[in-house]
Amino acid sequence: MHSNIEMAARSADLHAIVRIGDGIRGVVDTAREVNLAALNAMLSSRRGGDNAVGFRVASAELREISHRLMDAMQDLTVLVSSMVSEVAQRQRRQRNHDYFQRVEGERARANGNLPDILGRQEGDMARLSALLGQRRRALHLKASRALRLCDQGLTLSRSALVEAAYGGASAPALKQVAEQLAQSIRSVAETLGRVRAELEEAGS
Amino acid sequence: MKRLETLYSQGSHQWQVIARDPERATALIDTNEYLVSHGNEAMLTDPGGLEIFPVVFSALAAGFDPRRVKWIFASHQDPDVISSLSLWLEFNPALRCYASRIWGSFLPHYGGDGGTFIGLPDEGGKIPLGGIELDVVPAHYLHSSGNFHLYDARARILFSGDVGAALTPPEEDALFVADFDRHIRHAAGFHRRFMGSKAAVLDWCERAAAMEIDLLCPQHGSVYQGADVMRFINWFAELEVGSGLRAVRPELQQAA
Ligand SMILES: [Fe+2]
Ligand SMILES: [Fe+2]
Repeated sequence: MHSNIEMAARSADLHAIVRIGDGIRGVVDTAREVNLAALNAMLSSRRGGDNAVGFRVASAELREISHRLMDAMQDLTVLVSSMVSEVAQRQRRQRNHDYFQRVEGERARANGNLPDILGRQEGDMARLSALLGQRRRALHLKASRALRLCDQGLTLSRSALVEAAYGGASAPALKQVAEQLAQSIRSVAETLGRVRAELEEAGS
Repeated sequence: MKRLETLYSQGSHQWQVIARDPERATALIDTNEYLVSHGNEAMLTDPGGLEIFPVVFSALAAGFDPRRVKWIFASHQDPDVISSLSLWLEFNPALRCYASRIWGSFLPHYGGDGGTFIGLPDEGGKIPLGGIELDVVPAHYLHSSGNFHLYDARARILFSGDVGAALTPPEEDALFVADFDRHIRHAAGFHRRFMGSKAAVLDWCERAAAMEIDLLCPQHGSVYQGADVMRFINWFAELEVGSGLRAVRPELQQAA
């Protein structure tokens, strides 16, 4: 007999994927904020004159990083949507497998070719599980790369903070922007860290 | 555990029923699956819901080679009729399923694809089985709006889907109706509520009365045999149906 507990365990996969998808959307939103903030920073730094040239360079690079983050999230989204369909397929195989396993009686099982059917279903499930494992590893790799981008972003936002001091009259405003950027990037890194942890847990 | 029992047997021509499952999950309505076979082919009527597939398959395959089942006949689109389709197709992807044409784009929700379904026209017709033909009898609006029964003129058996269905308590759950008056009490509420059209009832009764029927085989409850067949037809013709509507519009009580 199937149990609700078993079904809940199986749908946990789907829930994990949904959480990963949410994380990715969160990262995209925040990366977009970084992009805008960095653009603002570049514009404000113009008012700081030549002294703010270092700040300007750091902001431009931060924009570049936010673009690369958004691209990376695009890739992640594609991977996640294939995982959703593969998890659904595996659940369907599993469910059918359960029904066929409940067929009783020596003769009925032999007449119904049950060993073949169950074997085929198990093969399909193993294939899907292997595929999902690959997807999970690919996601993990991409999330790790995106985290390295965040590290670069944090370094850049720190140097933007240092450069802000040279902004003359605009210095307080630039400092504020630099802090906001650092804050957003830390939030992206945190979300990506959670996504990666989720993937490690699902793989274990 | 369900069992395969023989209702009719003449050479290679047989009607068998998979009936009665005292151990069924109580939330699920119990169903009768009929297996009509001739020569090398067999047709399974209303194979049932997903949840009871294991018991139906166990019972069928214990006494019959399930690979001979080439056809499924779905009287209508209900889940207790055909939601196990994806599992039957998993066993045999070449299975073909007859059902009303109007369910063509609904039934694939249970599984199968364009190649699985054979849409039956409203007027019914004949369908082949291992060299003979069975009659598809229109029974629309009883209760489904695209609904068919299956008549076998050789065996004089009519598979009547939900018509004649009874929700019998376990102690009265015999394969054949033993005491019509007792039995029909368990059919009355269902027919009043599930059958919506008096015109459809009368039309069906008229056609059924003209057919030679030894066994009237519903999807739920006991099989009617001999004189009980005509008793049922007469009872049905007299019945006030559409009780759901009357619950909402009490003034229709008189009109009906
Ligand atoms: Fe029904
Ligand atoms: Fe039914």
